[in-house]
Amino acid sequence: MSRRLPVLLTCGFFGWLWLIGILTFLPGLQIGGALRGVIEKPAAPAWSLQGVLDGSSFRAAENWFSSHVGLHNLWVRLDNQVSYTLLRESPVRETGTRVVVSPGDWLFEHVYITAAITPSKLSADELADMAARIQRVQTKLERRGTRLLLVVAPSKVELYPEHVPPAHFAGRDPAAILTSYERLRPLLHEAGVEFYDGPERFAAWKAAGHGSLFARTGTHWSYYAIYHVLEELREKLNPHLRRPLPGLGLTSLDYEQPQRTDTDLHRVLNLLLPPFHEPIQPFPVIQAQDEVPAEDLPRLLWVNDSFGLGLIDTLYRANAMQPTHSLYYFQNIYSLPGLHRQDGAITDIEWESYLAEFDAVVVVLTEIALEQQAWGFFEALDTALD
Amino acid sequence: MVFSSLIFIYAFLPVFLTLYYWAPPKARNGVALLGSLVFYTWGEPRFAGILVLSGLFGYGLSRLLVRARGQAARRTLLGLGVTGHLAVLAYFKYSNFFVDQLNGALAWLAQGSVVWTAVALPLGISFFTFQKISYLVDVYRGTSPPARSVFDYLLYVALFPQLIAGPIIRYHDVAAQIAAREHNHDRFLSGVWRFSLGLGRKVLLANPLGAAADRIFAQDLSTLPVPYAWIGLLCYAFQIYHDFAGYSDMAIGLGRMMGFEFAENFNRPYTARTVTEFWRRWHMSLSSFMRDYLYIPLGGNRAGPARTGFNLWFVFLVSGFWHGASWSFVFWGAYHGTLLTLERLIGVARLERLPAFIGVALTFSLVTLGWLIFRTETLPDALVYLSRLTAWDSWSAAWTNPALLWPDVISRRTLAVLALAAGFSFITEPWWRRHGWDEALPVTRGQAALRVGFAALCLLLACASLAGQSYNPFIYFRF
Repeated sequence: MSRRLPVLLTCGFFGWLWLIGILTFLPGLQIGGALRGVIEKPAAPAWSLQGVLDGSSFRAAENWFSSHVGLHNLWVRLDNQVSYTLLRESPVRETGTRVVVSPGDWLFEHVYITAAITPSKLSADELADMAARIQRVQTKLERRGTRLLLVVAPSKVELYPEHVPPAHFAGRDPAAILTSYERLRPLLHEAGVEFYDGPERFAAWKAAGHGSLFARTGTHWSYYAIYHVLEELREKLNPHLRRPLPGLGLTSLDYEQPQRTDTDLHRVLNLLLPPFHEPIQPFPVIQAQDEVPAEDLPRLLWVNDSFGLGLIDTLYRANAMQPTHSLYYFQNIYSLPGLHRQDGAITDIEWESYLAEFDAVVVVLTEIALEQQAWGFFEALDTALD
Repeated sequence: MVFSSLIFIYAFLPVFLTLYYWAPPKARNGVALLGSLVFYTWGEPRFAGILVLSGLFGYGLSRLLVRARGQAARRTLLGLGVTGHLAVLAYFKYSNFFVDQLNGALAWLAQGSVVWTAVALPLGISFFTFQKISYLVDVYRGTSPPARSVFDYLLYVALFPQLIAGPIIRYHDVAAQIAAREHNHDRFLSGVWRFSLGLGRKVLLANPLGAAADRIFAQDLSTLPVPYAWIGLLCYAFQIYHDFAGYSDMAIGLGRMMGFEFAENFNRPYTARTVTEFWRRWHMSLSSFMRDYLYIPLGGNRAGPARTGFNLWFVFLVSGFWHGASWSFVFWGAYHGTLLTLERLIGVARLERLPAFIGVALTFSLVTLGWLIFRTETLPDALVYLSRLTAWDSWSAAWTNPALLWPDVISRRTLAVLALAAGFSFITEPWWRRHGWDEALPVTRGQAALRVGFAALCLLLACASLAGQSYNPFIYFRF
């Protein structure tokens, strides 16, 4: 063996160690693309005598280093790609969104699979109380001239169980498991609650042969489906609004690649390469309307989970709604458009005057989140309003 | 800090190695000592003082030992040193355990309990205590001259590659290397190869297997479905091997990068055909320490079968207790002591005549059952787990219990890694030898290229896995 080779290899090893080490402190030189998904990155260690003595500063430094190491994003994507390509799965992590990879690159959020095979735990009385409370809030708002619309979004797993690997269903049939929403549905009808039954509508569309209701690579209803949902929501809302929602100017469908939330599960996998089967997913191209002046557009208060984000986004792309607020998960106040967090707590809201600013309140939640009763929104309003 | 961390690989190692090779040869021991103290302080700043002070105590005694006149004085000094080191170990490692036992007994007698503030365990204390004892005994026996200086002695005790998890280096094995050792590119690259291989074993094999075993052992053992019981046990058996052997590989590799040659610690233990042979291949530095410093002084096998059996049993009892302060480790030691005594009664040579496949399978099964005692919290837990290994009627629960569903508990990565780890563990010695893979340096150009490629792959994938563990995102912000 040439005597030069060991020298070169030794230098290469040293160079590699130094390169990665130095890149750690030069975040501008990170390659591999920004990683998607939400994570709380460890803060830079705060060095203190106490921290040094008890070791906490060192541990913080290690955590910081691990999440900022040179080529970090490339490393993460490489690890994920190995699992995805060789084993057709996403790495099992202790925290974060768990993605189940199914044949044909159908991706599912694990939490929806669990929900689909877990029977409702709420008692009949609890469900009846829930329906009665929603009805009371609806009436109280009506008295104030504000329309309430509860929008229940479907679960991808409930709609497309045939694409979930059967082993994940524990020998159960999701269709045979009564979820809380399925038990609540007749009670809502009985109580006269005005709501949009997403699961029922999507099932009907699917039975009628409509595809693309969920993108294979997304966890939320697709933008294509959102367009149709909004058309139906307009029909439900407009008769009751002083300032109705204008029509959504659909100009065409873009079939190029899944966009926005239609590819959110794929993005959170943080792979190096695109999925093998990147399906065609129509994306509605919408022309912003300019016929209705801004002051005549409705102002809707949104109380929503992430299923509401696509609806809001589409309405703003169509210029169909005034700037407003989202009480996201009924935890914090965000201004729309842009989803910027506002100062002030929801608990400090003076509801009588606050609600007067809005034409309608739209509560959007997934069917699997129904047990959380809109995160306390109905209870808060029921208590606050006469 | 551990070797299998990104901060060690990409911050500590480049800085340390650069300073080490930048320094003139005479100053390299100083750099190595300083680096070792930084390494230890980084992980356990509170305990660095214990490492140094107990080291000074050991070194001071060794100087007195050299000057002492008369066997009685030398014996007394040795006894003082060994007792002193063991007392430090006993306090930090075993005092909590003994106080717990005492309080249990007092509660049983309806008496009050001893008020006690739990003592934290300094990193690597079991290993560096044995090394200090080895040094004193070597100096006492004259196997090695005492260290040239307190710095040499501290370097022997604190040398970071072997400080945390061994191998337990005996003083006479490295005394000459501390004084003078050769540094060259071949040895350095051989170290890189060994380190990368160990990193791969630790991060790519042991870590995922450990995570799976942790998930399974954390379940309610009394209802554990049978496939999980088997997979959990196998995962643990291969995890503990590749974790420990991988760490030893890294230690040996780092040692070579600094010009040291440490003794091997593992020699394909799962290919052993008897439990006796297993212990010649598993954690060899501990086995040889126990043999030389406990078994032989007890009389070894020179005092008849009964005494030999007792000696073996006792040595394994101590060895078990050394692994951890809990009854499980004591039982585990007793289990192995019993197996070795039985093998002696049956005749090891007779057992070795069994077909290799049967011998290996039998030994692996017995050792793996031992790991059950090692891994579970209590002996009753081990017995419950054992019963689940044959609870055939629970088979379907793995596919019907949503809380414990097969795809959620056993990922494909777990199964793939388990297969890989098993395959790697059972490759026999002749194969390694035939292809020259047991040599420190590659034997052919092809093997050199393969080693470079494999080391690079291990390093890349292990770093990817370590970085991947730092990024577990949620799809959207919740609030």
